[in-house]
Amino acid sequence: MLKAFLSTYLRTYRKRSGLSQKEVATLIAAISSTTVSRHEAGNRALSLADAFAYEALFGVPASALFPGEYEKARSRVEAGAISLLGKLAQAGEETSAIRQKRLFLEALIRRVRT
Amino acid sequence: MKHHMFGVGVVAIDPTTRGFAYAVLEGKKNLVDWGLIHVLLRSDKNILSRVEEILDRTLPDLLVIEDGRCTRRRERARRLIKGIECIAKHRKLQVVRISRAQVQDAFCPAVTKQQIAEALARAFPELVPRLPRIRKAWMCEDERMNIFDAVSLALTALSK
Repeated sequence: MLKAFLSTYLRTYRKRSGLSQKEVATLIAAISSTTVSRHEAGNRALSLADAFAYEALFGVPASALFPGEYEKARSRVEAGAISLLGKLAQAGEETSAIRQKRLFLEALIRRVRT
Repeated sequence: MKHHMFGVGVVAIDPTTRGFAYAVLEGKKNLVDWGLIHVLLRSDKNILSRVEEILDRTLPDLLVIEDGRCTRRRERARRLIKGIECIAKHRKLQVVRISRAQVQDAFCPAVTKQQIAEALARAFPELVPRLPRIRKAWMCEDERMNIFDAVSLALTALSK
């Protein structure tokens, strides 16, 4: 799987738009430009509201704006899916409900690995 | 070599009188970051620490600098280029030295810095606001030209 170069592309999209950190702070209703600066540097945890605000502002999905955070979440989901799939395999008889879950989890693992 | 989302990650650094200009590219077509860094206390140590900050943030595959052996730049700039090279060696980062002649070859038929900068502004419209005015004979070179020098160094290294 190709890795993202930076953990966040916020600075790239901001510079491409020609906006200053202060202007971005005004647009996303952040407290100050320092907040934007910290988001750009990855020094501050990003809230869901901020992630959606940046997505709306630049028209780029949050997963592309913050590939570092997305990669962490993807790894967590993959590990969880593998663990749950293992538990289902130990359950013994495969009912239709278990089969539905197993198929979903197998598809999920394939999807997150591509 | 790692491969990033859009290709090889390259950082190019070009010393200026007040600090340095930098350009970060992911492959030939994706300009990720660019700018001028001004260092208030212009010691080599302070400038090099800012270079390290950029390398920490971007974790590039390649570092591109001007070839210090065939340059007409001042002693301080040459010393800084050597310092940047030492940082890269310490980090086991691949360094590519590019001479002015190599840049001119890569951007042929553009020869002058202004022509190369204009070609870069056409390729990367986000650089248009940083494009300096055409320099008259009595004018000093605009510091923003160093951003274009850094981008041209990175692109030349990628096209090698």
